[in-house]
Amino acid sequence: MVRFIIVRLIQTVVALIGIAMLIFVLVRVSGDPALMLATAASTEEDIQQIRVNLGLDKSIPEQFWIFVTDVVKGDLGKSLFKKRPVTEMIGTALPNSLKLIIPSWVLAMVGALLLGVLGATRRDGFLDNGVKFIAILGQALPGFWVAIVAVFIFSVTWQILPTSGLGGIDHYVLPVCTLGFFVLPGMMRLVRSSMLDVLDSEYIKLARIKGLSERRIIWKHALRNAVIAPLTVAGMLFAMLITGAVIIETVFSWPGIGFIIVEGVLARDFPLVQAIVIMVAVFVLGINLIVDITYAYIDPQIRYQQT
Amino acid sequence: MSEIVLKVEDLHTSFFTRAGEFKAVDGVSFYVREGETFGLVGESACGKTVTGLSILRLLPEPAGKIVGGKIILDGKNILELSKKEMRAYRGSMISMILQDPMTSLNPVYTVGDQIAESVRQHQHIQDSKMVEDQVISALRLLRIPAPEQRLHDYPFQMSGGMRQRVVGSISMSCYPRVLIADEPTTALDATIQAQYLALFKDVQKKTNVAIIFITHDFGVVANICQRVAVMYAGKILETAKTSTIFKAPKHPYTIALIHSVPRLDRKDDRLYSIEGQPPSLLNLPPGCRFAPRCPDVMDICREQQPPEVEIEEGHSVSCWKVK
Amino acid sequence: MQEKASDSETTAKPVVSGLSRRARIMKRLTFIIPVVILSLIIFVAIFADLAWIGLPDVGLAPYDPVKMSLPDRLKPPFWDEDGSTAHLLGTDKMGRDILSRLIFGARISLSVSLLVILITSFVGTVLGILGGYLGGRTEAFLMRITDISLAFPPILVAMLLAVSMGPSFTTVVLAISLLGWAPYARLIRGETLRLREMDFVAQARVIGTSPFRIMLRHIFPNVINPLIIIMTLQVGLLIITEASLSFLGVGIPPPAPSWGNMVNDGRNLVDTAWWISTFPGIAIALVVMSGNFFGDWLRDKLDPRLRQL
Repeated sequence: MVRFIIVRLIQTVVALIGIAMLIFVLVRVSGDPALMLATAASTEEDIQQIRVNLGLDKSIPEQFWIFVTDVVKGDLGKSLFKKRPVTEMIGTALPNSLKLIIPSWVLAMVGALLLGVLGATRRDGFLDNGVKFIAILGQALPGFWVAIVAVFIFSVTWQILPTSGLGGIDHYVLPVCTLGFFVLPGMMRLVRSSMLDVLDSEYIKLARIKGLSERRIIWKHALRNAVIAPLTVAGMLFAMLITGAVIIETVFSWPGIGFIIVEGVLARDFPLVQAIVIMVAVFVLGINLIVDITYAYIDPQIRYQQT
Repeated sequence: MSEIVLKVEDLHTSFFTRAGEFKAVDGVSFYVREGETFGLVGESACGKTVTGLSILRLLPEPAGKIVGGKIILDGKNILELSKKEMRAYRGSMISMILQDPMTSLNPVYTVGDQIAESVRQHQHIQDSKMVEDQVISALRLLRIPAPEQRLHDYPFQMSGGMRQRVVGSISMSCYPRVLIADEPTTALDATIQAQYLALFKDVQKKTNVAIIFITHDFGVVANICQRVAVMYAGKILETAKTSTIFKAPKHPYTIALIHSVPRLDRKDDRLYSIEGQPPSLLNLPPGCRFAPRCPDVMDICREQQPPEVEIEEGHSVSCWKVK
Repeated sequence: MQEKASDSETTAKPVVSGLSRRARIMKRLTFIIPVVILSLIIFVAIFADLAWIGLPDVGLAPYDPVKMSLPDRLKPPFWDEDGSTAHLLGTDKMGRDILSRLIFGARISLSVSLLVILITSFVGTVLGILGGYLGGRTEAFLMRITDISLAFPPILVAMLLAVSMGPSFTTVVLAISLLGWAPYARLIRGETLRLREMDFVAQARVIGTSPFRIMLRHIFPNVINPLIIIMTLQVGLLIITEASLSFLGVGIPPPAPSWGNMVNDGRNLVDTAWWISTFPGIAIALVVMSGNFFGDWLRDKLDPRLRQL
């Protein structure tokens, strides 16, 4: 198990470096950020000056090296738009994003697990049909639209919840729920179908023959096997969560990372955008590592075969 | 003779679907003694597995229901037990071995864990050392080598034959009175089969458990069963000692089945098979179930079901031709 | 809906379909309705106008989708008392006809999806077959990249490209495609692994066929089924992704009538002019649902093993 973790860790670090390089290259090669920042009145010299200021006149590997050394020192560059160090901006925004993302994720996963299991065990019942309905809607309705409709219903028409911004618990309700909606239906569907497959298996029959209570059979025997499949998708689901976070933060003017990156893009603030994307990459890879380890812990076959 | 452990009296089990009522078991009666192996033979879908599940009261709900009869274990009609009481019986008084060893075990728990669960559930032992001892002795009963190490293994680390023994250990861990074995050797290859059957006999000798052996393979029956019942379309057509079934079968169906087993010591030109198909359990013919395919059919066979008649001690047949 | 019986003996019983007439009709409908909707959308997208044969003013859309008309702004749909049949679904804050924008939006959504599907399916299939067949380091490497691509939010790639190239049609297609090949690669590789063990491949090897030829002539034709299924199921996802990007302002730039843009336009007017955001949202939901139902039907027909998708 320990060996497994170490191997995965090394792979993650390597991947991270590769991605950082890729991101770096993408931003510079696909367009000239200096041109984006220039105005109609800029002369060729002005543009060149912008390039020098941003360090774009150096070769790409050189730029990358400077960047890496800067990062190690804790300097992620300066935002062109706000003229503040990126690290500072991220530092203020990140906690806000986490306040949104973590509750949403927890809520969505717990909800998906419960609903998925309940749907599977009371197959074709009223609850199960509800579960199936949510799954279909969840995959078809765009998250941003749901958020807007939710704002319309709860904030504008019924006026029981605020429309935007940070604040007390009531400010959390809509953003957290609408963000959870991005990932709950998909996970729930998977848990349900995985559970149905497991409940049909021979070893569950044997568990019944052993005279175990239905509760024990579901929550101890079936579930542990049923979560294996959804777990493999957890990484993908997290990507959806991040996408959702960007959208929800924009709709609700929630000052998190998503919000500032959108602002950054619209303002062509490429150091900011670049830094945030790399940071999120670290985050994403980290989460995937954790998921991989959990997966190995639950399924002994993976553990033993990873020697 | 040892006492009767399990008595099934006129069991009726049906499946209720949108298409109608499938009468899977339609009036089945037999008994099994302590230390005896009783065979339940028949083609696929004749009702033998459903009979086994009915004894355990583990029919798939809501479609499956026991609609009549009694199942008496050590003098008590277990059909009258509450669900909770029945659960206590399952695994401890009555147990079952399933067909496929590759999928019968939960892949994410160790072998020891899975046996221990049974022990803890039914024997109410909490002390982990005592539980472990029980697990090891269950593994030993099924002759699994090095049980102290084995209990930490996962199912995927074991061969099919070994897994089947583990399933046996789980089933025997609480020393049940009746063990129902549902085609446990079908998934094993021939060399392992013989070993496994020998193991059954050994376990039975040590624990005196009554075994109901469900199979379609007459070779296995000849090896291990003392008495046999032949089932067809939800009914038992003939019950007798194994030797009698082979030497002097009376029911035309039994005779046909025995004939269709290919033999090495006889020169058969063609493989004998019975023409036709078993009847649909939705639309059963009014008379004898086997009438449409019976070579000796008479008019009365098509109209009325033959009663079960004991033609000599321990040998009963349901056939109009045999009186 | 078959009754579930977990006992092998009972499932071998006579085959009488337990489906009632009502259930059968419903099942038919889940195929017919999506197909109708999808065909409609494709039709509408193609015939929004006939500019592609040189007749820009002829077509299904009653108005030019980007033409502003300030006196006509914020008109509600025709069934409202302030509405009129001149603008069946109303107008937005620039006086542009919602219906026309919706129709042209279909064109945008479908063309983005089509292009992305073509690119990603090709790349994904090639990588999947290569990885699955060749095995070893190549496969391990490709799999890691695939896993990472699957876990990476495409929205961030879009942002990255938008910040240096500016938002545009090309940016959107490129951004989604850079990561979009991964689902194909993953599935096709799985299928390739399975096919690789089959006898007809062993046969080909025995007679000395080159690996490339085996992959092309034996493996590829057998992955076409799952491939088509993924493609159908991807349509919905891609439409939502493009709409989300446009909604945020990093996708197709306004005034182009991407459905995402339309929802964004009406975002702050939900209380006064609900129709601006509502109709595009419904359009997206309908198309995606139809795509998913159709994809499910196709999968059940062609390859039920893929139910996990």
